[in-house]
Amino acid sequence: MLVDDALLFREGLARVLEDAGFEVVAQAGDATDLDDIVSSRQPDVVIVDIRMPPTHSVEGLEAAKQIRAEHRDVGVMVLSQFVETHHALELLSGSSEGVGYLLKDRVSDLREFADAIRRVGSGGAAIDPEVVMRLLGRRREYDPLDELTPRERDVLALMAEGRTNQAISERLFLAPKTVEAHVHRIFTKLDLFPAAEDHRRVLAVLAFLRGAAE
Amino acid sequence: MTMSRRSRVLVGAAGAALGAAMLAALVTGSERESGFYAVAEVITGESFIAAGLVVSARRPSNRAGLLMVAVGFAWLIRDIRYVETSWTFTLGMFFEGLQWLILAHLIVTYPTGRAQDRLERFTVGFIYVYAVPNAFGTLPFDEARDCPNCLANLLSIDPDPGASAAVRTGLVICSIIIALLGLVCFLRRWQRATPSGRRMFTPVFAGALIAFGVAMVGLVTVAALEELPSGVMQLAFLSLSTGLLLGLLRGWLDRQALSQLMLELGRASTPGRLRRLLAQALHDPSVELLYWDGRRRTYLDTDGRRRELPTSSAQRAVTPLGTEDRPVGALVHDPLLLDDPVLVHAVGEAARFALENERLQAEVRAQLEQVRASRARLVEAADAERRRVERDLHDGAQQRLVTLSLALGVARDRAASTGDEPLCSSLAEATEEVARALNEVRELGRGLHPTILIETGLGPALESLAERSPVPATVAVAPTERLPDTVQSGAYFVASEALANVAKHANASHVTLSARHHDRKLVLEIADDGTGGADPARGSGLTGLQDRVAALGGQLRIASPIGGGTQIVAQIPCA
Repeated sequence: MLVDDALLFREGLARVLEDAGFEVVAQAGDATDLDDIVSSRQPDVVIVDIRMPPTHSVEGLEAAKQIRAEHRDVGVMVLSQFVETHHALELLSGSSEGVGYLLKDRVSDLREFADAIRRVGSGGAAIDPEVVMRLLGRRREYDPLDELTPRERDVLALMAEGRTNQAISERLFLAPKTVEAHVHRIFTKLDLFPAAEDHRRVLAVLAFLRGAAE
Repeated sequence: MTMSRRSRVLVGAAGAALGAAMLAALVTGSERESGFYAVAEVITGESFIAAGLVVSARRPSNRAGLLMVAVGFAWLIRDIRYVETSWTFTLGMFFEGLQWLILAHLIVTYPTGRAQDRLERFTVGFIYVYAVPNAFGTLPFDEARDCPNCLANLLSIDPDPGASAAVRTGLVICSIIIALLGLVCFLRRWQRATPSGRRMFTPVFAGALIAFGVAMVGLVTVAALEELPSGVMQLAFLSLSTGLLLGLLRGWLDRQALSQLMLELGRASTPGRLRRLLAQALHDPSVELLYWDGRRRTYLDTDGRRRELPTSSAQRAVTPLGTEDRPVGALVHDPLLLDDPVLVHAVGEAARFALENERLQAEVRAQLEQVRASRARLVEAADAERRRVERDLHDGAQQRLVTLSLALGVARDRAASTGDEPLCSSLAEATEEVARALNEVRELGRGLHPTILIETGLGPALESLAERSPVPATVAVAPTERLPDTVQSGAYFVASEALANVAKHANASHVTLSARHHDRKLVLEIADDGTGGADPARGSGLTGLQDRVAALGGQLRIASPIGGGTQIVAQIPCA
């Protein structure tokens, strides 16, 4: 299901997604009646623009949080022209199951985008690399990330984006075992409680990255 | 009748010359008096002349000064009898008593020197009618003294003792009548006087009563014993002249109060207080202060009520403040105060300054308020405009670019599926170009108006700034509540500019942002540990920050000691 007030973009995205094998069960131009539509059409994922009428502020974010609260089995992907770590963390607050937060222009890489939707649809997470980059790249006076090797940093970034060990190993051309070992070392070095499940660790990593700045 | 400065000098010189001559006569004559007596005698006369001259200088319209001068001369001239010729002795005897009569005139008409009603006019008339027999009546009936060396009374007709005693008794009775009439007139004047007028009587009371007592006792004892203890009369006279001088010049002494008034005017915050200060300085509790309302062309009292300007009368006098074509206000007061025009003028000027000052201050305040409001409106308008442009950008160019990149992605997929590698790679290039364009537009939009500010408030917006700061930045405290838009965006832009400055100039390793909202004020502080030495006067972005904060009615302080880091504190009121 697609929710965006930019008609042209919405139509275009719907076509692209259908081409990519998704079924677009509903479209809407704003977040009113979203609850009813979600109840009646039972989409796997709702893709929602963060900024919509009437206030052009964070309606999409509010709608996403509401859907997550009332329809636990429905994934929510929030698209935005800007990404803010604050929004990402707010969206993830409590749980990172079935949540996505991406820059709108990520749609240009269809495969990657489709992958992110599938991840969200199956209870995973998809956090924009920009958010992760900003948290990772943030300059700190005493940076615990300095302890990490460049490869470990890569793994950490991909983890924060919500990717599974499997996906990470494919991306970095590493053996799954090696990725697991990296993950373990990262958690040890950063003194984090190792979360077994892939999607659970997103929140832990993001919160750590944000918290480390304080 | 007023005395010019020149004539005052002449009179003063004549008085001094007369005094010197009399002193010489007193000391050198064969009827030699003691030095103490001589000096007391001359000083008493001179004190009246001097006091009279001072009074007529300070209060030109007051005739009491002239009377005092006359008393002084009459006092001195009678000592001519000590010049040892029969005719000077006769002349001295002729003037004897005149000083008392002029003094009585002065007392009756105190403090103005002018008779006001029938009783006073009658008394003054009686005094001078009495002066004729007093001068011409006593001498012929003076009994010839049987001392061989005594100077002769040229006018004596060698009367029989019975006749001269009768004349003397008549004159004593008359002088008692005059004394009583004088006392009545004086008390009447005192009783009718306004509180401020009464202040002039108090010093005279003591002196006057003593002098009257002495006069009566003196006349009686002279009649009985022909002798009065030496110097007593002079002392009584001296105390009276002092009392008169003090009373008449009380306004002059009030200059003290006037300078006090000038000091306190600056603190006179309310019209009521200003009026009280003026009343104090003028010693007239009845003083009213009227304001001129130029717009309604009417006078207002201190409570802001419309007031007609009373016409000057015997009860109330009006002193206008300001010029005729540009009135500022008016003082309504006791007409007695006009007796001391210098004081009234000075107090009036002081009041005028205060009113003028008050008016100018109010004007400046109003103008400042206008400027402040218009500056705030400008900032608000600029903010609104930035928001509008940002939104246009977001809904327009940005949206189109995103749609374009979506279309390019679709095209690239198609090209990939047909195996057209060159097309595929040029489409990929185009996609990257669009991504760069999007990034630029995004940054542009953020610079115009950061959406996160309206979305989530100042705290997350500062956090977002800190995240992107090239110098490690921490947000120590930030308000969680939403603040007015102009305050938030003002603080945001200050922080943004300050962080950019830190990155450019400070050479710092860390910067801390804190924003506290309390006491209806947002206090934003950005402190780095860099090299310091930032100078807003050298025209950096700091001046712009100061303007922006000032436009919101706030203040921006920059502390940047060399080597001590830079600390920028912005205080923005949250209405």
